[in-house]
Amino acid sequence: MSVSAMKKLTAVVMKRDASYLLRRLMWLGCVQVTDSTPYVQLADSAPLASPSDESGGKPALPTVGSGALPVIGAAGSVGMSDPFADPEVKRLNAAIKLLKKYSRKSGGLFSRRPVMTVTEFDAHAESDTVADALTVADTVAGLSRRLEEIKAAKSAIALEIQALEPWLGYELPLSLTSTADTQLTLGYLPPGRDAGETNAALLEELGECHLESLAEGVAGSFCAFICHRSKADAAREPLFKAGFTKLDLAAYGDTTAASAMRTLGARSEKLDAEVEEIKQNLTDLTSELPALELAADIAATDAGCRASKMLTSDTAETTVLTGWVPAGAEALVNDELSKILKRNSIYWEFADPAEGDNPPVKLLNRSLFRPFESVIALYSLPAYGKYDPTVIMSIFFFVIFGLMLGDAIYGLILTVGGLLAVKLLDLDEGIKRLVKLFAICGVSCTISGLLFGSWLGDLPSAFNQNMLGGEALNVAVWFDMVTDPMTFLILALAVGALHLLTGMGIQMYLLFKQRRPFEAIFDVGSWFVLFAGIGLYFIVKPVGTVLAIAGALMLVLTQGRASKNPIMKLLKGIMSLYNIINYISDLLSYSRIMALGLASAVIASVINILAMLAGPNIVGFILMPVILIFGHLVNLLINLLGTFVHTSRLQYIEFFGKFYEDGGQPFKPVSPKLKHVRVDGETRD
Amino acid sequence: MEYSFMSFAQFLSEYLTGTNLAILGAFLAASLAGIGSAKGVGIVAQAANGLLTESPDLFGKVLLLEALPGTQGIYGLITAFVVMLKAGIIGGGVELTLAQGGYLFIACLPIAFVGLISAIHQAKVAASGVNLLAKQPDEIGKAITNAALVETYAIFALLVSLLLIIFF
Repeated sequence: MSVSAMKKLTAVVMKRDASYLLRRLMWLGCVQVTDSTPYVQLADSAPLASPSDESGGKPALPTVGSGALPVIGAAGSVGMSDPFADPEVKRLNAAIKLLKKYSRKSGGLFSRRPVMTVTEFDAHAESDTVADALTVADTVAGLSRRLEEIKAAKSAIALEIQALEPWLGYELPLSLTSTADTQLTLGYLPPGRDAGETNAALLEELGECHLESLAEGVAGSFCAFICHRSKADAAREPLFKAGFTKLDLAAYGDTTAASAMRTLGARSEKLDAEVEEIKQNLTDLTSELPALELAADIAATDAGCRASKMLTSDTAETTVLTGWVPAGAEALVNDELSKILKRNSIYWEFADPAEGDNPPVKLLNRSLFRPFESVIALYSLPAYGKYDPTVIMSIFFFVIFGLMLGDAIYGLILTVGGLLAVKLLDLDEGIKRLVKLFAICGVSCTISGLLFGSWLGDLPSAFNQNMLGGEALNVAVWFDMVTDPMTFLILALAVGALHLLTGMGIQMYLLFKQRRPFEAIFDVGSWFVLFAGIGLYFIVKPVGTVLAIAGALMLVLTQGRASKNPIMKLLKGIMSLYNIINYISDLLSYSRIMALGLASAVIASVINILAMLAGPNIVGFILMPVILIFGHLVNLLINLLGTFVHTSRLQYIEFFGKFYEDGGQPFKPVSPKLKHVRVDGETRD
Repeated sequence: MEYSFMSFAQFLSEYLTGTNLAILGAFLAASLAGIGSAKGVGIVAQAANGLLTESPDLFGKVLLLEALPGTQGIYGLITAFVVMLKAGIIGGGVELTLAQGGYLFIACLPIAFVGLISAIHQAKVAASGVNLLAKQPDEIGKAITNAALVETYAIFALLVSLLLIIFF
């Protein structure tokens, strides 16, 4: 209906009460805190009166009247840090994510968050819940770190075992490199080099040596080379030529490969046992999940409060809080602050936004239209104090959405599915709005499905023809969209024309409201006359012709009024007629309604054809429902995206382009940051 | 020895039938528009993966942008199916003359060409939309709207193709 008026709240409390005040305001959820530094600077230059007595009702600050209030900076211009990026919150959330993997009780689609009262939540916030949970979180983090270490250690062991495997048949200690008379070298020959042949060649060249192949692998053959001490130097070159690469296994010490592998295996088993133990520990810790989740919400909420508190400013003894409150919530905030006044000293006042203020924007609409606000928010909110088009846009969105996705069953799926999802699932606020939007628009889809005879596309007709051997059916109440696409195109363009004319109507209304009647009549009214003439031309030709010419003349005579030169006046007037091209292209843009409507209907009928290809027999009757369900679900999803995007586009470009004044900053009140629990709205006293 | 080479005229009279021309049209519609969409979705998906390394939780939003250049392929597919229906490839019972086949062939061209080009251009817009998301995750609406502007022309081409075929 409209953009909510905002009131500027200024509250002064003693420093020690500042956090308490913010927390109370947070539970109200209708105060957006703004940077109050300018206020304090002003207060410094004009010192406040001495603190009023606390018993004497609402104290007053005479020196700072509402007229003297400084301008509050642009809403949201002060960067608010993300409360979920707070280090404590991150630690808790990481632990929650980890523990959920070990939780036997899976989260499940239908699980609901635990509900508690504000009193309970705040009691937890003041007790050691967060500190305790952080200890648990650190334990969990430690355990998971240990799991990672073990994983790394185990893969290192696996690599070593793999490296030792070729030496299993080698029965000497791995570190042994020489005896009294011999020298021993371990290594491998490259693939393709035969150990026997190499041995024969070495024997011939050196004598008193032996190369023994122990295992063949992809990397080559693993060999032990033994020779007399005196030949050790001479052996180097022929070995090098043969491609022999030395391996140093001395690190395994005085053991054989088999026993080294046994040691490694034992170590790996011990690590496995530790992993089991840690996993058991983690599974046991899942009982702490609810406490961790509560603590994460408390920590995030506290972080949010701290971020808001950063915006308040301190004088020597007091804290000054400034913020925006929707006019409708003024009484609520007043009550809450009066309650605080019973125990603590506090001064507050409300003021209207001053010149140069940039209040945040909150839209006020009936609950049926509220889901459509998200379509507007996706574009940009209207500027403060400007026209809120939600209701009129909703009506056109509803109609156009239905025409683009006109199918009775698809509509029912959207509406029933959407309502069930909202009722049964614990959805986030943003998603809930979108689901509600689809549920509402589903009604429109169903209506146009009835009018244009689409029940899962042409399913009744296709079923009758292919499975029952009957005639094609026409189930359309009005006309069949697929066989009579031209009528549908005309309908789409007619809806488009109405949409555009409504946009121009709003433009005219807004111009009148701003006391700019000439612009309203000349710039918008002339076009109305011209279009009325063109429309009437097809009904009452002479009247239409006269009106159209009158409209065109109005344009030629008025559109150059900004120029002083009479020739320029006339030229600009004539040039303005060229704008008719813009209106025509706007209008033709609505043919997408028909194209997308036709696309979803044609894909649906293709699915029906595929589903019934097998014909009226047992296989056919078994295959049909499977293909129908899968195919139509895919079609619905694809077209849902396209329909949403293009319905929105028609609003943003063709409709909003006529009149919309955007640029509002969204209203972001201090509010609890709850992801895991729900808190019921009652406040404590 | 007898050679069974056919003359060019024989070749034409045997293979240049109305039905084959219609099939050629269906082929162009499905494959050109499909190629455009495949390339387009690929472009956006590459940009998306870059963003997802930083913020994996944006996957849902990014997926919407990725799906946008995918529609041209679907438009081509619809056109191909409708042509197959009209040409009797599905359902049967239709014999097309050469002129009728040529008509269906040409009717497929708008969505084939516009689908190919618009999907790629739309993908470039959507990919830059992914970059926009990296900085401002809440501005998904604007990113989608910008990409949807490009799609308009694919929709118009589909409209022309479908109307030509339906009034065949």
